[in-house]
Amino acid sequence: MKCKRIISKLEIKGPNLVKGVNLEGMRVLGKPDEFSKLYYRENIDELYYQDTVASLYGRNSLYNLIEKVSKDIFIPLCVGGGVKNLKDIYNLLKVGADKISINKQALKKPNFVYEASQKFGKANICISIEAIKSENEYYCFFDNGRNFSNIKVLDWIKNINQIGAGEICLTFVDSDGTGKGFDLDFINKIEKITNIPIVIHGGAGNKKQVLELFKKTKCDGVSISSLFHYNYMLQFNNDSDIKYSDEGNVDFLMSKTKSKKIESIKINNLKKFLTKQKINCRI
Amino acid sequence: MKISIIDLEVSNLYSITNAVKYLDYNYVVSSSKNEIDNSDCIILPGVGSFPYAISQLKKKNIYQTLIKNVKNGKPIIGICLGFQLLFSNGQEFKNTNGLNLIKGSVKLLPKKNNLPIPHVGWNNLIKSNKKSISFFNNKDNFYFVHSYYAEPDDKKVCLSYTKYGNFKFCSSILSENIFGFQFHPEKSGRAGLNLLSNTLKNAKKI
Repeated sequence: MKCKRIISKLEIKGPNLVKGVNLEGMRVLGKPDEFSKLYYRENIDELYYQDTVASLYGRNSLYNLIEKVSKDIFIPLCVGGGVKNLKDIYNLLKVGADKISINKQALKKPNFVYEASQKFGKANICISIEAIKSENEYYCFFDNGRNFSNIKVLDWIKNINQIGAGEICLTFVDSDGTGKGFDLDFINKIEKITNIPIVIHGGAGNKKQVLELFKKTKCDGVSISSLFHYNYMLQFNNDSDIKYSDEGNVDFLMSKTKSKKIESIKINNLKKFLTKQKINCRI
Repeated sequence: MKISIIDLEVSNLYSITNAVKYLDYNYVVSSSKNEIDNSDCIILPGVGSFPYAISQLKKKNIYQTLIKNVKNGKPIIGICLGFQLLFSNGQEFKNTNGLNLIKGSVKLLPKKNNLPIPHVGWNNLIKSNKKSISFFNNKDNFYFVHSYYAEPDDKKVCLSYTKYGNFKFCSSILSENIFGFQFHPEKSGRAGLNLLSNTLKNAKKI
């Protein structure tokens, strides 16, 4: 029987793994390669890397990281951020990425996604959607939630059905990093209009919300950051000599406090909890 | 044992080469006739479309080389699209002849029950014959990404079945020196590396 996918989203800024609230105010949490290896050992199903500033600066800087981690991590790696052309995709696949996630360039030039699907196979192309609600309607944003496209999410998904993609990863920007849960009604609306596998991100604050997501929607997977990161981050940072680059805010990390809104959990504990509630997971 | 990993210039070969390296086997990434002839085992990976992959094999003049080597008893391991290419024909975009090493055809997953296509994610293997036992455990999950599935004429070659919703398809094959997996063992964590290791050990004995 098919498993629900438990994915970890690793947001990267410069050399650091970061996490913000509503995709803003990035806190430095540690080193992405260390988190990757640990999550692989802890049985994560997939890793989703997002270069949080690539789209804004027009470049993806994850090549070295992906090349390094794919040497000893044998699960699917999805990479996104600043992917503009077929060459960017080819170069990321060449260093070990399995799936490429595209947002801004897909909105700007839908035909690009069609070309990419034709060349690299539909299954390897993931459309990322940054959804923000305004007057009861979700709209697509880009540049990590900074810029507005004026395209309604539901319209865009109908369009994606035509263009073709292997997966849709939808981020609820309003809930990102807040732990306030997912908009399940909206996910149900999406399910009615597409047959493409959906992965949901943004809002998981405890294990019950993840359970609700799988009980009440047909989504294929959940992409988690805060819920796992805040559990594991303290394991790495016992050494005060670790030098973090100047990029980003390290106060949260150094304070060794825990987030109040997020009931962090170990990967396997979440999977065991879901399995007990009859959600099939890879244990 | 020297392995030749076939390069069709469409797929991510990094994962499979890393896995073979991790398992400590010698390999060469190649699309040269000589190197394939001189290797002891062939891995045919592949992502992309059936017609394009076959046209690449022909363009590189190794379509017949592969058939000849396998008919002479050299072990071959097909993965994902590489697994599908082993069959007689594929129906992706248009009807295309495959390598015809296994009789049967490659078809689109049924669009019923509202199951998403492609079938993406982790799924388990159901043992279909006694040989299965030396390859994998029933509880192990493997990573699948595909919209098409292969249907062998002779069900006996099927090493495992997998269920997607209520739809049951052949997810791996074993027929003498021919091994094939619809899923990606090189992307399936520890279970995948074990399976790949067991397969290479079996290939070595041939």
